[in-house]
Amino acid sequence: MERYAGETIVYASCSGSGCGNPARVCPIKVHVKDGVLVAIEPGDPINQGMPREDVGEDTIRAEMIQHRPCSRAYAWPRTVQHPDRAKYPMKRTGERGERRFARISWDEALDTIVARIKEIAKDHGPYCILGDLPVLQWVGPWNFVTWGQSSNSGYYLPDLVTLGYCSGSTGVTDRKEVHDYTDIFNSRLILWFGANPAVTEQGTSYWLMLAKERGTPIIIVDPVYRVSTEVYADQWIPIRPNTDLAMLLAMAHVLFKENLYDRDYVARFVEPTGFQKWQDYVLGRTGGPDGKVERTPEWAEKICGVPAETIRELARLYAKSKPCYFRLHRSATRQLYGDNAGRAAIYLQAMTGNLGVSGGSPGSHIGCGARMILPVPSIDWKSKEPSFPSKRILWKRAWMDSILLREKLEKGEMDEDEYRRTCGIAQSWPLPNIRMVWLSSQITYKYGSGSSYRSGRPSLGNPDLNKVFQALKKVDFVASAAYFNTSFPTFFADIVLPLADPFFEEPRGYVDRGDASNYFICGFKAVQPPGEARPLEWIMTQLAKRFGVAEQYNPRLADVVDDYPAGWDQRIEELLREAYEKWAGRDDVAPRKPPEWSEFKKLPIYRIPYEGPPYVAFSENIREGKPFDTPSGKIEFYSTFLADTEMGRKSYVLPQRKVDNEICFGGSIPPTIPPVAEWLLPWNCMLASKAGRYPLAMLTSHSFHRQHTSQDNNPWHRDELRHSLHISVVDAKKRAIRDGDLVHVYNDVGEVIMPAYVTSRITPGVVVIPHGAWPELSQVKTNLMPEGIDRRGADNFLTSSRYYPWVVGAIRCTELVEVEKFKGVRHDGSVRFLL
Amino acid sequence: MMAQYGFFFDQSRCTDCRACVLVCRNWHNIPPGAVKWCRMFQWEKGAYPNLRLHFLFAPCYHCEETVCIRACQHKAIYKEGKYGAVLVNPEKCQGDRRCWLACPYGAPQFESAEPGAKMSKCTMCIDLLEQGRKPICVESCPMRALDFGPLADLTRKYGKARILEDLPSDTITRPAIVFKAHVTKKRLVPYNEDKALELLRNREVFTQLPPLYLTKDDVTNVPAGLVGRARLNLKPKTVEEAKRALQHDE
Repeated sequence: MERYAGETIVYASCSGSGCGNPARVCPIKVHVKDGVLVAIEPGDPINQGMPREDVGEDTIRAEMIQHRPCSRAYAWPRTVQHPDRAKYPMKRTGERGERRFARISWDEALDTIVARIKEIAKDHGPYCILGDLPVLQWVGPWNFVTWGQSSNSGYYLPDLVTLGYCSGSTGVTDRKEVHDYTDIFNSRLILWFGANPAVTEQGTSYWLMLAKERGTPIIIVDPVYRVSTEVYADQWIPIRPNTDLAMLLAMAHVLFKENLYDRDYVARFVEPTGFQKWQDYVLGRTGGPDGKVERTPEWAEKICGVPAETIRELARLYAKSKPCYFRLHRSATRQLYGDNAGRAAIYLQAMTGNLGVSGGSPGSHIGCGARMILPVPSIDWKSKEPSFPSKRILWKRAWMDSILLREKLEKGEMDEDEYRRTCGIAQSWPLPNIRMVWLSSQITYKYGSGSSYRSGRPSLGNPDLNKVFQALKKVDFVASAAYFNTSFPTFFADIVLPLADPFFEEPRGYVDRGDASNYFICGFKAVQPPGEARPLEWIMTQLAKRFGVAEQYNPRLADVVDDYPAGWDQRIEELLREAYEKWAGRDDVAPRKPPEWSEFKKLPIYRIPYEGPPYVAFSENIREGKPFDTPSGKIEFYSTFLADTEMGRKSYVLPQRKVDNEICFGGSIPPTIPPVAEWLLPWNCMLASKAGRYPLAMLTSHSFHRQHTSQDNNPWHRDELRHSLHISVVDAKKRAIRDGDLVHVYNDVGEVIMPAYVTSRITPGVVVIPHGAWPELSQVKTNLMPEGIDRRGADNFLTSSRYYPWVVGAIRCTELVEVEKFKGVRHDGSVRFLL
Repeated sequence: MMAQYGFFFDQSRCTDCRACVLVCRNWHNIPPGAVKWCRMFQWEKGAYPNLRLHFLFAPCYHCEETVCIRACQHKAIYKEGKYGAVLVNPEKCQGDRRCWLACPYGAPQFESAEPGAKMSKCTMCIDLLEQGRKPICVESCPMRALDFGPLADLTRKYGKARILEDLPSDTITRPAIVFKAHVTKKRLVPYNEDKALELLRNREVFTQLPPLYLTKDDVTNVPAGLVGRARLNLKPKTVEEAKRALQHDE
């Protein structure tokens, strides 16, 4: 057929940009004609075209159904071929941030970067460069890494202190601690707080839908009626944002009062002193910050906006529907004091004996997925041991503060202890002194997504984007490797290097589903990068060569780095083959008789069925009595680490394994996170006095059409998505706003102008801005927006970067804003807009 | 008798993720702009906290009774024999939009409002059918909410419904699609709406704050034209209106 004449098909994978795991690997078939990416279709080797689950129950339970990509996979051609792609190295010609650049040669760009690094290192000493530059580990102690999660906060601290479980990209990880997807079929009730899996966890999403069709009742508690609420929930219970903990406390109260908790389970697995403290607190025998209060449903209803009767009946239903799959995480924990709600969710699952049993869940993030049952080939890069292995010395979210407060520290206006606590630097760690920032939006192929080599990469994911501007203006040198030199924050760079797309313009190599998997895929290069764009690993190896460490850093590519693309591509293919053949010869693989390399290359997806009953997180602790990695070896409702008044100065050590997790909770002394989850009123929630000035609680969400920020400029996605402020009917009426009107959204951090989406789907007093829109800075500059008011609506102009030491990651869902219909004049009359 | 193939759409599975829309545009290389051979619609009904979202998968339904073919004076549209696909011959199309006026579903697509702009539409991916495959939207749906095959088989498998709530009557055109409607919500625990709205109204829990609204009516009374997508707008009249009708805010 004419349409397909001359087309070749290359397998690739759409993944790795932080896609909600565990569906991170979506195999795609890429059609290429005359060197151009012409079309993408789902790479479905086992059930192509199978419309439903026409495969039988055993096949479903063995997860031999290919997960299919979401909309994001199919729009790539218009991102890869976007006219604004960065094609040549550039240097800044105007002021920093003015977006004026001139083309330079690769030699000039790379030589400049190397010279500047040497200069800055000489002048300022160790730990002076922020950003993912792994090559510097062979050069000097200049680079460092950061701790903390980009966005996954909340479930991290609760899991850590309550269960001794380490998820996330910091230090030690226990990646197999999940329930297999199919275990959800064993649940008798599914209860979710604050998640939108239809958008953010498309793997989980599919299995949830199957569970629902099999008759499992689903209740979702959320301030917003999301698409997940429409599709999965039998019942939606709307709740005020930031008040989930009050509802959980009231549910616990019912369990205690009506004797509905599992005494036997608690006696065996829960540390008794902590349990008693929690019981005393819930029943009002001991007080929290707000005094001795019985945490009854009647107490909670005023806070949550959920009637007491509903809370009481939900607690009863929950107690009798065993096993219950209960999860409270993501948005419900990415908020001020969200860690307490996350911990309480784990307590409830322990109280009801639902933790570590089939059909149950740990209550926190750890939950639905699939364990890794298959080894995955990996290239042996034969790098030498680094002479200066990167230290983890700074809280990810504090990089701006560490730059901006440095002057105060040097002048003696801030003492070192306070500086350390503000920036999340433990007493025993060296101090950073950031003078250069490397703004790469990717990590290298060699240091794949499973690597812990991650630093605090400045991005749109940063809170308080204005502070990002300020910090970037303060440092001596900013360089970036990017796909678009107009994107944020790359337009602040002094040197911009054009980057090859990691999915299509370089071989992506072996990728599995990230956390766990029964299959992997090998992604091959489909097309050449535009202009002089190059893979990030090529850039790193070129830098290594200039530092004279190419043989140590990347011995297997060092000799072909000047022969790009021919020699480079050929070598990588040889390495992929070598890795495959080594894998195929493993004792645990060879008996499966995997195909020869030449066969595998044609369909580079390898998959095996799951066998036996589904895996259950913590089952070995419950069934076999293995101790939890907590000080007592039991589930701890009371954390001695958090009770330690010196906690803020220390890094966290996993108690049983005695492994330093390189996390320092920093912050105020004494610490503000209570040792047992207690109710605290978030000072910037809609019931706090600040709501008098900014009455609307702002949540952020994810969009179907962006992976965080990627693809925001894709014109196909823009045809599907109106980026808007979501506002309730009553709040819109009050402000004379109709759907589609432009609105001015502001608080004491920033201001943006964007269209309004008026809907009944949202609780009165709440607004939502989906995360990840690229700013469009207007010429209108104000005190709050010195670089110009954003007329697109980037959420993080409105989020504060104030450091909450007990939150490991970012706070996405605790901000207050005011919204007005946009009339061309600023709310205080001070500025007339000419947009 | 002519064979008739058709689609199946399971509204209870659809998350409105738009993979079908984007895979279609990518597969057929349709430039950004007004033309979408595969469209998704979202509309909301009800009022807080009792509402539903409705999703509709809308390619061309390749009707059994082709009102578009009858409407075209240039014989530019025809029904293909093997699958019953309704196809357009661009050489004959004069762009007078009679097909658009006739089609109750708004399937015919035009790049611009320019007079004479030619019509294009969903082809049932007839080239894929010839390879023994299914239309690319069906093969790509992450929730497996779509199916495709001989209409008689689909009816046997999924039932007789050829219409969903708010869709135009199916009796005149007899669209070649079988629908499964989204499922009714259940109340697993009691929820007193009036009580909830009273609780949400009052913000004086910890500090003095004025109430968020005065009466329940302020929340539940939704005046016309206030919310986005309060109805299914299958046939937007202008390019601007179409752009809005086909976007969601997710």
